[in-house]
Amino acid sequence: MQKLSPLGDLIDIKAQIDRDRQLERTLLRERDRAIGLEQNHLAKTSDNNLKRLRAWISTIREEGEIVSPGQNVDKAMRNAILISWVLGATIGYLLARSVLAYDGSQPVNLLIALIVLIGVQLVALLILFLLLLFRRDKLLDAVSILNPTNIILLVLGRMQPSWKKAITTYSTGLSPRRGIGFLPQMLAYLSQHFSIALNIGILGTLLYLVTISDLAFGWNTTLDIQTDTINHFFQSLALPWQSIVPSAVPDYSLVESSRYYRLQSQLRSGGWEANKLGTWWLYLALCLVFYGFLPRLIALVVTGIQYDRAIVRATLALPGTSQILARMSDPLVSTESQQKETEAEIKRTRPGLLGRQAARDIDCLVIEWSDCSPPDADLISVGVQSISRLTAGGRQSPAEDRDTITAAKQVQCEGVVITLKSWEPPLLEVTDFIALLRKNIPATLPIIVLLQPLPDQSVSPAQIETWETALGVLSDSALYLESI
Amino acid sequence: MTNQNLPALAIVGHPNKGKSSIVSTLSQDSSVGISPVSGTTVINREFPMQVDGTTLYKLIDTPGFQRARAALDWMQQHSNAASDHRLTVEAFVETHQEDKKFEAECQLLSPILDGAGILYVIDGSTPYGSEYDAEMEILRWTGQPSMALINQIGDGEYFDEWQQPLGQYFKIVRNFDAQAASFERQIQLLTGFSELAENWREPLQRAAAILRQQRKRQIQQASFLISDMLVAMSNYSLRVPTRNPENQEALAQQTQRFQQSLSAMESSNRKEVEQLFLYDQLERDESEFLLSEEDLFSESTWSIFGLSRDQLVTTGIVGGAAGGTLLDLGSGGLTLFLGSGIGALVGGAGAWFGSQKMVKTRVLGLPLGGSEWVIGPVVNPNFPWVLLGRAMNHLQHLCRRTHARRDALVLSEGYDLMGAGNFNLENPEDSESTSLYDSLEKEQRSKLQTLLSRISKQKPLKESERSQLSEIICQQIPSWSD
Ligand SMILES: Nc1nc2c(ncn2[C@@H]2O[C@H](COP(=O)(O)OP(=O)(O)OP(=O)(O)O)[C@@H](O)[C@H]2O)c(=O)[nH]1
Ligand SMILES: [Mg+2]
Repeated sequence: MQKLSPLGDLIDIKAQIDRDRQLERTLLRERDRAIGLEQNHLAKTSDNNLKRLRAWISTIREEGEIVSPGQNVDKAMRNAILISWVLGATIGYLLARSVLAYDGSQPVNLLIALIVLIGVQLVALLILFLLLLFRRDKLLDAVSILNPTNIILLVLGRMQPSWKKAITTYSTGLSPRRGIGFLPQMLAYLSQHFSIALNIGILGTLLYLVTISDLAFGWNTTLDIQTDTINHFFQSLALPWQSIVPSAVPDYSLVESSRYYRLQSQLRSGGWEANKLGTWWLYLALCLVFYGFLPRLIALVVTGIQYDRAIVRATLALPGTSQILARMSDPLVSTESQQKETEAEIKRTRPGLLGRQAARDIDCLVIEWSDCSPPDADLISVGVQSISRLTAGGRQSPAEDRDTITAAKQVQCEGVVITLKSWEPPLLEVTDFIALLRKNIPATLPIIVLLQPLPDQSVSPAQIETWETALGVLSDSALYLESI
Repeated sequence: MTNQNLPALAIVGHPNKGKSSIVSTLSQDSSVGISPVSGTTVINREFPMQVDGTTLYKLIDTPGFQRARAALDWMQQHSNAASDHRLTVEAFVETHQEDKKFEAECQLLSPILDGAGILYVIDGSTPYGSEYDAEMEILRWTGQPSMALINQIGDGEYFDEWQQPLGQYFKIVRNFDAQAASFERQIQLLTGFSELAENWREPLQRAAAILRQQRKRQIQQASFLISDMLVAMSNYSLRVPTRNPENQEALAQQTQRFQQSLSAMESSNRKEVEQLFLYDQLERDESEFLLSEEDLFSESTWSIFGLSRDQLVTTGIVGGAAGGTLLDLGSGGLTLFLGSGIGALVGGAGAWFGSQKMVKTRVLGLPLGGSEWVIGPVVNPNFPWVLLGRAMNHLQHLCRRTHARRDALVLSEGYDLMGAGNFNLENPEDSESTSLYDSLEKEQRSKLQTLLSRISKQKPLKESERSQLSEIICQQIPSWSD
């Protein structure tokens, strides 16, 4: 893909930032850091920010098959310049044709030619200069309405609405920070293209007319002005080239003899010195070069620089660019897991499976799990008469647990109570034990799991729920859950 | 065997004691499954800390022991002497690899046998019990370097009770509150792991330095995001074409839309800031700021070719002609609330919203094509202050939070403009009750005043001013300066 202009890149950067909003953060960081590492040769100074951003967008453009609105904008911009040239040259030609119209009866009025072909331009240039000097974007905005390039943009906008939209969006709604649009600067720059073409059109037409026909120049004014003054005026205009092309500097006699009423009599008598008067064309051409073309060339360079700067400013002020730069230059730190999380599915049991113990005051064997030994009083409070106590869990070995079960088989009781610490999680070894116990005692003999709270606390509903869930997997209809 | 130079830490222990919480906090990973139901973690999960693809250390979250006694029993029966303990553990894992019964034990032991250090997690808010002995014994059998971490899940205080049994099995015992540990505390713990193996020191120090830098960058980028938001929101205005500019009801609706857009801007900024700190799905509980409707007023101007009145006046195209038809619906339109000094502004923002003109609303009628309402920007000079106060409050809360928390981020109701306060992380009781604004140095205070008043007047911020504002924001975040 070809390289885009800074404007094209700006448009694409904006578009990419918008697209990136949909992208996952880690992917974004990885992508941009990779790009950043590629351009490690660029020092991470703020001077390089634009370069780095443009390198960024061009890498993304190359790697992904992304739609590049910037490319369209670039194309449109080239078209705009082209239209500016065609339009400028055409208008220049028409203007020159009408001002330099000569049918042999009336010489071309030099003063009018100078005012129309150069004076107007100079005034416009002066305004532009003042605007650039005082840098009021609002004023630039305002003047741009009067600018012929506006028409070009209007035409282009009609042809390519998306382009117009892009330009206006990016120039006005570009950033939360105002004053960073580039439309005025762009218009100023485009209009220099127009004006240069205009000057070339005028110059070309002048040369063309000179070659194919005899042009006679004279001057005339309705104002009461002395020939002296006019002579002085003509000669001072010629100052820039007086040493280079001395032949194109009119002398007094030429000025004198070029006055209309003199000329007219000569014309009538047919004795006018066409050759001599013909030197005026070179004078006019040089005027056009020095007061039309060259200043415009300078203006083109200056507005070009201004336009570039505006684009740079707009690009750097684009919200999101500082993040891009940061993602490129900061080391890619990742602390998160790259494996997907697999959580245990929690087997919920049907509620109520573990009924509350129905009978009261039953004689029970108490198995203390892991040193959980509530006093008899606590047992009585939940309707349990302890007739015998055994231990399991804790520091005991599995073999000793099995011995406990064997012993339990021998005890005559109305139920088995297993005391547990309510704050500890239900381990599988506990359910193992209960299952094994059940295998060794009658299926209908109640097993009551009794939760003991921490001192000065009570068993929380969450703890009861946790244990209910854990015990539920045993599907034991004579298994009960109680808490002290 | 993993690279011995690569610090690896297996976080092991009883189920439901906060293993996953500790990993989640240290790895800033909110995706970790954490729940009050025990047995949440069923398989190991690795959390490598990588810098540009190079791993500096890794944490391994593991399921809790389920049948420690049975496992130890097997090992004891298969061991002939203390010298073959490690081999016996290896044999155990190998033998029971496919055995459902010892799934958890095999999972949690394998990284340790691969060379990971042991981080044994217990809950200091519940008492020690003999059921822990088998676990600790198995871990000792592996012969790997180890450290005990006392987490604090509930209110109970059994720390002292734990010291003795833990001391029997572990040389190093540390306290670490998985949910409330400050960033500095996290870094401390991380560098502390180098006590387990001398050659871990270097990579862990490097990792710590990089994490600190990352933290700084996060804070700084957040501050830029916030300054940009202030400017964007202060400049925001809504333009709506209308056929009937006098329709107050419709205008009210649009005004509400204006308000909603502002809220949306703020909340998308919050999201961006949260993402910076690696929170992707954070639930946030924050009051909306309100621009009260009665306080909106309208002023009409002209628009042509989509230009604002200001632009038109400058161009002089409409100039006098427009002047006559200019409808001024709201008289107080341009009065700005410039009265009280900032000191007097501290307090519920709602109060001033109720009494101040907030938003500039204008009707642009145009002879060439209908009219449009221009609602906004908010002209109240307090606006950026409120936004900043809210954003800072959010940022501070975020910096204080850990990734182990799964509850919503609650931003105190009725936020205090600048009264988010200087929260002392290590010692909440010592937190000064002074407002953020008060805590600023005099020089910064006036700088902030200048910056915010520029913003409220919709003036662009220069790059240097943006940096100044960001600097002020950063300095309010505890871990910024150290
Ligand atoms: N208040 C508070 N709660 C905590 C803290 N650490 C963990 N918890 C809670 O304790 C419960 C268990 O935490 P987990 O991190 O899932 O524990 P675990 O050890 O990974 O659990 P399993 O994976 O089931 O073995 C959760 O409800 C956590 O919210 C803490 O520091 N403070
Ligand atoms: Mg877990």
